[in-house]
Amino acid sequence: MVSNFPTRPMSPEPESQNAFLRVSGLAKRYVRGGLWRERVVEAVRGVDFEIAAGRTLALVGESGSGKSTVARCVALLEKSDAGQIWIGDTDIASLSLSALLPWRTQVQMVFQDAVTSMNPRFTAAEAVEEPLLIMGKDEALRRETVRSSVNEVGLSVDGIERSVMQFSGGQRQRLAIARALTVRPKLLVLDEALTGLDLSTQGQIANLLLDLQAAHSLTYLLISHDPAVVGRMADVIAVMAGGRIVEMGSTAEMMTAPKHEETIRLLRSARAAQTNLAAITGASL
Amino acid sequence: MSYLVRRLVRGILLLAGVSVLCFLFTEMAPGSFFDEMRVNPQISPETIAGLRAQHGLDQPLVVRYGRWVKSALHADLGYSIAYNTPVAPLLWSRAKNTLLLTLTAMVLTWGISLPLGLWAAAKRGGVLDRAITVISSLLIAVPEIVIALALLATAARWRLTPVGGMVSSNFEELSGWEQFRDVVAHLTLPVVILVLCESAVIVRHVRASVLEVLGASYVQTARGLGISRGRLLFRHVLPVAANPAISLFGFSLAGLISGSMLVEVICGWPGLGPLVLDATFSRDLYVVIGGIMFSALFMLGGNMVADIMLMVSDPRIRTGAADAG
Amino acid sequence: MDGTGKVLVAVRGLSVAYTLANGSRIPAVDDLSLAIGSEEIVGILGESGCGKSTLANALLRLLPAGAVCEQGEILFRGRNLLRMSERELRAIRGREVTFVPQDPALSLNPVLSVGSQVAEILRAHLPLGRKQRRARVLELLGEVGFVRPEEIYDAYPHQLSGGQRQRIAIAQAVACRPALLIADEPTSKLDAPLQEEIVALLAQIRRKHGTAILVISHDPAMFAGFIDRIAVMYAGKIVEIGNTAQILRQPLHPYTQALVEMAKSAVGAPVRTHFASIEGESPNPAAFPVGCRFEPRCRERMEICVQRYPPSFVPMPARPVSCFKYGE
Repeated sequence: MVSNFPTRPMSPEPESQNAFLRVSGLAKRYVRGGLWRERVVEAVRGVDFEIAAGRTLALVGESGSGKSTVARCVALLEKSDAGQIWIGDTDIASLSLSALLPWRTQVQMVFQDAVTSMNPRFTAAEAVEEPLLIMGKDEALRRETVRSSVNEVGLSVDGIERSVMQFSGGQRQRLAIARALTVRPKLLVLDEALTGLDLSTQGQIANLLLDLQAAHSLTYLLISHDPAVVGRMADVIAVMAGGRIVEMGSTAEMMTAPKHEETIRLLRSARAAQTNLAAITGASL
Repeated sequence: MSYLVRRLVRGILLLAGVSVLCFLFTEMAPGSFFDEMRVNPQISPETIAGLRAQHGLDQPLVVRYGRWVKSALHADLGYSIAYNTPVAPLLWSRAKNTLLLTLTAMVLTWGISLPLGLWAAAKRGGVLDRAITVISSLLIAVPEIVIALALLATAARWRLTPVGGMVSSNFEELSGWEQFRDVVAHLTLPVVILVLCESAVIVRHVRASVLEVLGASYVQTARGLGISRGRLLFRHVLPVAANPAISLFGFSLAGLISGSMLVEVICGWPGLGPLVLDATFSRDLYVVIGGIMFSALFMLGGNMVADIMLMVSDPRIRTGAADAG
Repeated sequence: MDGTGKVLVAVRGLSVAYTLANGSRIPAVDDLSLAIGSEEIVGILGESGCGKSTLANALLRLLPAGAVCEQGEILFRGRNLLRMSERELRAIRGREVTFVPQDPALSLNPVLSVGSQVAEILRAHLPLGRKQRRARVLELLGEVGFVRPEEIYDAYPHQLSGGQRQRIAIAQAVACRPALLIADEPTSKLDAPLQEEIVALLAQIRRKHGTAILVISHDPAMFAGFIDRIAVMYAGKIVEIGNTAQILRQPLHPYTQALVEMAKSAVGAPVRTHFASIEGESPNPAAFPVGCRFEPRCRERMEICVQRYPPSFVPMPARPVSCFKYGE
């Protein structure tokens, strides 16, 4: 399930039988214009990892490490410049735009800020049914799917005709998850989906995600900079810096015995806060 | 390739494209300069043919285009059939008048619109703000030609300013200072029309962009840390709000040659507009083409100047910022 | 009050409400009283929507249009801020009472160099010449942790990272050596390692310059280690106040207990186990209940909790708490 250092090129067949997603040699660059010359920024410089079906891999790193870019490439929001993204036997990175359409229901993304990822003019019902609308489902099916999705994320169907803006931050995040679930995806990319929420709301949404994962055997690619969240939700943690994965391993290994300095730095600060707390409360760590 | 170089290359390609289109359209338009003459039984067909050959009008389109391009590169834009004089000097003499008009109007427009827009935004909801909104809405809604004719009629009726032309008939006899006053008097009407129409648009844009910046987080922060309102407006808000205003300024620059045609025709101002208009009616081929190219050149130049100004004034564009990846 | 010095800010019975376009009144802060001593670091702990940001804005008299301080007073060194003119307030803002804004990405002017932005604050309040200002800015930049201040001075915000921008914001805030610094969620938009650094920086500012700090956050773990006293806010009211060690070791109000519980269990639990959380959500300010506002989510609720709002009881010295568990 875990592949270690990403240096050699991968063979075209999936190495482990139960890998749902396999990313190989992913690279992406951006061009920044300037007055006299242009600069090329290599956001992702060759990234390899795989996620087993029903498991969670967390990509951790500072802003600018490339983790969001990887997420966007996997979620098919951007086209990578190099590398392959395997789901089963298909390299979805190499498909044309039209061939990609059926795959978009397999991979869905939940963003960080539900305020900005939802159209404020929509009602909750409209927001949640949008993917179905795009797929051309008829109204009866849409209504039914929306009801069941909304129920599944713990919201009541009664209020869904209200405007999106009338829901609280936590509720909006639930709506975002409901929206993603309507097309029955197999992989959810959670791009800082738990960041910026209160502790309690964060806990609730995380619990919801854990329950959904167990119920539907969902695979998660979790992008986060919060070690507390990552330590609890992920089976595998991959640390990114400067566009590359610098260390990857099971959560237990990474949290207790990190080797790379970046890993130590990122995961350590959670322990520092905990240490302070423990020292004061007298609790054991 | 760097940004500037790319812009220059694209500009040149654009000019070339405009010139090709000019030739194509004038070719496709029915009729030629000599049509009237042809109807006149007193002029023999041979004479007409000779005249045509003289002006090279009997050559195929491609040849004519090629020759025009070659001479254009030497700043020779051909010959005007109607005026019997080279096109370039003819255009330039008229262009000077147009520029006098449009530059004066531009300076006044921006001189009025910037402070007004700023004030309206700073004192949002106040009397001035609401007055500006109403008046500018009216001025934008009413077509320029209607405003021009209305002011023309008013000026003529009440003899407020001389109407028509750039100078009075006794211009030659006037002293230097009186000549200056004469031109200014004639300039008044067309400038007022232009300023009214343009300021209405610009004031609203300036107001809108200043309002937007006033609501920004960094302005609230600066205010919260004790920066006075005046300093806030001029040192913190204006530099950011200048960005869209500079784009507008580029449009103003771009329209220096072409934007005043209507006013020139109505007020009888001897600028480029009436010249090109007449030339179009009479099929004075090279004047039309020369006029359009001149206008296109100004457009490109104006936009380019605006882009350079943006680069200079906005560090985000200068250093190539983009959203974090 | 832990007795380190005199009272710097005394908020007494403050109520702030927003008026919506349709005329309805939404209370944000409800009859709140709090004292901040000079050189003290006080933390306000509460979820989003509890009114903590409104409180912070009220202290600076920077409430948005539509928000009204309906009653109460805010005494800064004995003078009521709510009665001051705009001119008097301008002399205080940035000079005596300052703040560090929440989002470093948005709080800096994009077209001015960061050095000049810090200089602007100095220029507004102190009679320094240009050269002196520049020198002072370089000094401040060094203080907040920049190794090469001269290079940073001319940089623009978009060229800096989030953590660097937050440091610039802090430099602006402490430029005039204020008496009180208000930090509203100073680390919530930053990556984890940066949070530590910023916290350390704030602690250092108090140590070196005796600046009192009011920190607002929803994360109890952040409070441990550098905050002296914590006030827990819920639905517009303070429900518990106490010394940090006491609050974290022995929280009295059920809400506080739940928060501390969540924080303690954050790290170290095995993978795939459920997170601790508090059931439900904070009440809608448009419709606060008559009784205790935490009651619907409280594990220990009683009949009396619905009937009226619990007054402040003091079961232990200097430990006021608004909960019927401790009295009638």
